Order: sequence, then C-alpha cells, then structure tokens
Amino acid sequence: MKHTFSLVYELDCPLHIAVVTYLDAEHYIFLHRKHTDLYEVVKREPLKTTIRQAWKLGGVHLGYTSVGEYRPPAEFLNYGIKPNPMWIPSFWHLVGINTHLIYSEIPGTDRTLSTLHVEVDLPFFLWPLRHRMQRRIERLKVEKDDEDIAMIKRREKMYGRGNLAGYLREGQFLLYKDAFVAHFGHHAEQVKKGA
Amino acid sequence: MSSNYFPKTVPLNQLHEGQAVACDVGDDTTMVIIRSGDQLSVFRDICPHMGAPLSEGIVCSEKKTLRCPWHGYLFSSDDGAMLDNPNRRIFAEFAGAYASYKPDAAPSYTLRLHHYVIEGDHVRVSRERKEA
Repeated sequence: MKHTFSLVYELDCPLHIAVVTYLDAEHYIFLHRKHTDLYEVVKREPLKTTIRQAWKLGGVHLGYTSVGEYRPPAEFLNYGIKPNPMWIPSFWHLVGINTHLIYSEIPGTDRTLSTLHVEVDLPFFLWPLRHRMQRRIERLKVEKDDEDIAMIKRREKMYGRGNLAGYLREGQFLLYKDAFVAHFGHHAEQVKKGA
Repeated sequence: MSSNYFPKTVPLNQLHEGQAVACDVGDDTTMVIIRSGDQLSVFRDICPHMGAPLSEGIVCSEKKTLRCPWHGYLFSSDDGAMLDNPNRRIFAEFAGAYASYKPDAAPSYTLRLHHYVIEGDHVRVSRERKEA
C-alpha cells in the first residue's frame, strides 16, 4: 500500500548553493553524524550512486543500500532501498521509501523553494502507522536542512552570499561535479557580500 | 598590553582538558583553545577547508587531534598539521571520475597556532602565529 505526501518550504540561499550543498557528499557523515554512522559507496554510475548507509546497533552495522540519482540541474531522487545486511530482519524488509526532491529558484529572489515528494510503500498491517512515519521523515528532512542552512549561513557571512569558490577548487570533491559545473559554474564569479 | 595581542583575555578556568572551547578574544575574533595539561593549543575558530567552527569539532585527548565538524578533516591539536582527510577513502571510487575533480590537487590544510601568554589566571592570545 502506498502513502504519498509532499513537503514544501523555502531555503534562504540561492539555488546553486542549495544544489552544491546537496552534492557536497563529504559532509553527510560528519555534519549529519547524528543521522548516520556509516556511509559507503557501493556503485558509481554517471548520474547515479548506490550507497550503503548504516547505524551501529549491538555491535552490528544495520542499515540499507539505496540509489541516489541526480537529474540536473536541481532534482534528486532516492529509491531502491534494500536492507543490508539482508539476513537481519529490519524495518527495511517491510517498508520502501522513494523520494523526489526538486529545488527551484523563487522568481524575483535569490531564495530556493524545496519540494520533496515522498512515497512510502508499506504492508497493510503498518498502514495505521503511515502518518507517524510521515512525521518522522518530515522531521528528519527539516533537521538535516537546518544543519545545512547553519553551514550555508556561516559560509555566507565569511565568504559572501552565493560564493561557490571553495566547492569548485580542483581538489574538492562533489558528487556529479562535472554536471554541476556545466549548469552552475558560471556562478563562480557572482558573489554578493553577506551582512 | 601591546597591540600584538587581542584585547580580551580568557579565564583559564573556562578551559577544560580535552575540550575545544570557543573564546571571544575581541576585535570580532573567536579562537578555539584546547587545553592539554599545562599546554594550550590556540588557533582561529575556522577550518581552513570550508570555514567550519572548529570549536564544534571532536577532540581526541589521547591522540591529540581535532576533527572538523563539517567534513571530518583531522588535524593535530599539537602543531595544527592536517593528518587525514577521510573522504579520500570514502569517495576513492570517484578518483578520475570527473574532469573537474583532481584529488591530488587537494591542499594539505594547516591550522596556524597562535602564541599566547598567561597573565595570572587568564590567557591572552597573540595576533602572531607560530611558524608552520
């Protein structure tokens, strides 16, 4: 049975900064460390990455693998969740979650609209818990965005609003960096000083 | 006190063993101070990689290290040298994947330690940094 919902709100940053923050995978397990203990790349494709994400429970890393896909310039999908390891019964044996995140520029501003569409696939006996799961997913998304916005605001104050320079250095890793540069590289020169 | 020093002092009793403490030293400057016995390590509260507040990082007293809270870069709290970028391993699969990403071009960042003097039960931080 499928339960769907959407979560829409504004982010106080330009579109290219919202996108580059999403693609800055180096911060996933450090800035967002309360949300994950282990992050591993399982498979790399041009615009897709299969990752394993896990949490330590009783000495065992318990989690899932999933596929993340970038649809330039500013859409991100996550799907194909599989429990990992398969032999330990877990929540992920019962429930599948697919997400589609769309960032878009709010016309006339340098702010970003974040639209997250979520589809939760769950068995009938968990159907009564769908709203609780929805609230949990929404809370997780908001918490991560709050951490990202705190990082964005600090960088904005130090380096100027919209400043991409640090992310575009040759030695800096970003997921799908060539695709990002092709779509947003022209923002490199466009820096407005923060307050 | 000469202008080689920041105007505000920091009470020593605010500095706890093995903690990275954010300290306002005046002139809109925040330092991070890590106490290890009688020794203090003093540097700007800014990660040279992306600007993270290092005072929110993770200190390991035994190994004398400080891990950046945003991207996990590991520094020596003794001399500020960068010891490890764990992302090189986590994302090793991507080496050579993009024309715009050259892992070997990543600089080895360094935290520049500041001199300080003890004035009674306070510490005053110098604007001068130790030689790298």
